[in-house]
Amino acid sequence: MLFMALAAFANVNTTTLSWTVPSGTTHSLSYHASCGSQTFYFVSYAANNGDQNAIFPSNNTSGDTNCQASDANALSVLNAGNVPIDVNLSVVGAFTTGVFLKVWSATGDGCGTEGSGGYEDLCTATGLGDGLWPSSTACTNILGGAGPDVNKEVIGGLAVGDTNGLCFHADFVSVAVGTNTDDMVSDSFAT
Amino acid sequence: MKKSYTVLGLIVIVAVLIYAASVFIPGFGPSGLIIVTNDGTVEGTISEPSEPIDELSEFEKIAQSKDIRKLISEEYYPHRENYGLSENMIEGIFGKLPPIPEDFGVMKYLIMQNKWYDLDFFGPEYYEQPEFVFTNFEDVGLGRYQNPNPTEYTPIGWGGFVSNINADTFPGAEFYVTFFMFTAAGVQSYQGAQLIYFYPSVSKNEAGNVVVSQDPEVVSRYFDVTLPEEKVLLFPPTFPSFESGWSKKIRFHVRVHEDTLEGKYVIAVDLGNPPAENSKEWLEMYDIQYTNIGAGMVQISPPHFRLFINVTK
Repeated sequence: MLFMALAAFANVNTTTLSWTVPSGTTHSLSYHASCGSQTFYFVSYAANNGDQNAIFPSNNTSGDTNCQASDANALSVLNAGNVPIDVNLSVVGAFTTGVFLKVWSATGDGCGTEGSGGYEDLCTATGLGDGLWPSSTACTNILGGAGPDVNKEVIGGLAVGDTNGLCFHADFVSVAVGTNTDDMVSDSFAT
Repeated sequence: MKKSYTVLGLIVIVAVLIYAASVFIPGFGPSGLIIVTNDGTVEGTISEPSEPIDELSEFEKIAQSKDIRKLISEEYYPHRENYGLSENMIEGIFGKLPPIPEDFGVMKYLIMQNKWYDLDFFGPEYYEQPEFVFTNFEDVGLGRYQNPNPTEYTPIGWGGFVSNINADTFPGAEFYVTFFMFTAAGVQSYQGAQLIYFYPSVSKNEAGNVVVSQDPEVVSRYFDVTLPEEKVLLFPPTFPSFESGWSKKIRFHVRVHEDTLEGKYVIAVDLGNPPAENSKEWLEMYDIQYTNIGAGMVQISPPHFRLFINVTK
């Protein structure tokens, strides 16, 4: 009887929970304080910066304050856990056809020359896999002329304790990249 | 003659006993050189006994230095007085948290060394301490309080701990899983959120290698996941203070279907946007200090919690 009971007990399945390394996955997003919000506004205006309507992220629909400069990232991501993380960007919603949103990696605390370092007329980084991330000299589109490009990997393997800055430009063009237009719409991109 | 031999013998025996005692019993008897001559006289010098108290305290020092429990407890206990912050700042940053339990260091050690897997055991007196749920608070999080960046605004940030848990289970099994979700250090806003779960199609390990590939639609038929009733959550700020409720215990239930095939699967739990009515209520309450946690276009991979399930029969 005792042996039968022991045999029955030995056959009872149990679920065991464990971990190899007690991991923590933690991240935070910081924005330039002059913007005071995680919403970027890309405000089109006729008198653009001369680079085919490249527009900085602004703090409001009037475009009062730029959220990005040569010494300021528009957005920075901190990996505060103990495992490397990848950072993807997606934009959702209805956007005016012909609006491009370009992203590149910051240099140190800022976005390069006058905030435009890494900006390309035609982005050469795809953000579509490992090693194809944008850099400080090559951007990727996260909103193309035909609509949103979802899940673009803009930072790959952000190391534990590291911060990586991202920089943005919007192109307001009606037909193709590089085509200037007089009347352009405003749009906002929540990040 | 006989008498003198008897006396001599007794003297020798006593001397030998004293010598033996001084050798084998620490701190007993005199020390020095003693010579007993053939005629029974005793020559030599006898110094004062050494202080037994000193030897005992030396022993205690050694014993204490080998008290592993105490050493570990000290190592993993949060010594906030050494954070380079003034007393007022320490009170301001951590003052709203529960008192730190005495065995905090030991319990944290047991988790970090894979010796304690029952996270449901812990109450807020543990998991509301940043040093408990952050794996490296002193290296990464603390700097946000020691040297806050005046040109930065940090409205979004959250984490999970322990963020990767393995479950070895079988078809027909039911079990609970516990972990913690919390506001990241230095976050200045109230974040409205809702617990969500999903089946990621690809899961990588820390080295970046794919360890599980699965069809989310198929795998969703193998498991029933029941999240806690309280799914809609508000995560208070951690800057300038760790506000009460900034870290939360998440306990959910998993049922493995009887027809689940042997193999490896992954269930992810993370945070998404709260329902619109909650968002509106919190926005009215905290206005510009409120944000929806999933408001933005930024996604992090891996998810903040993953359950790696190994099903065998």
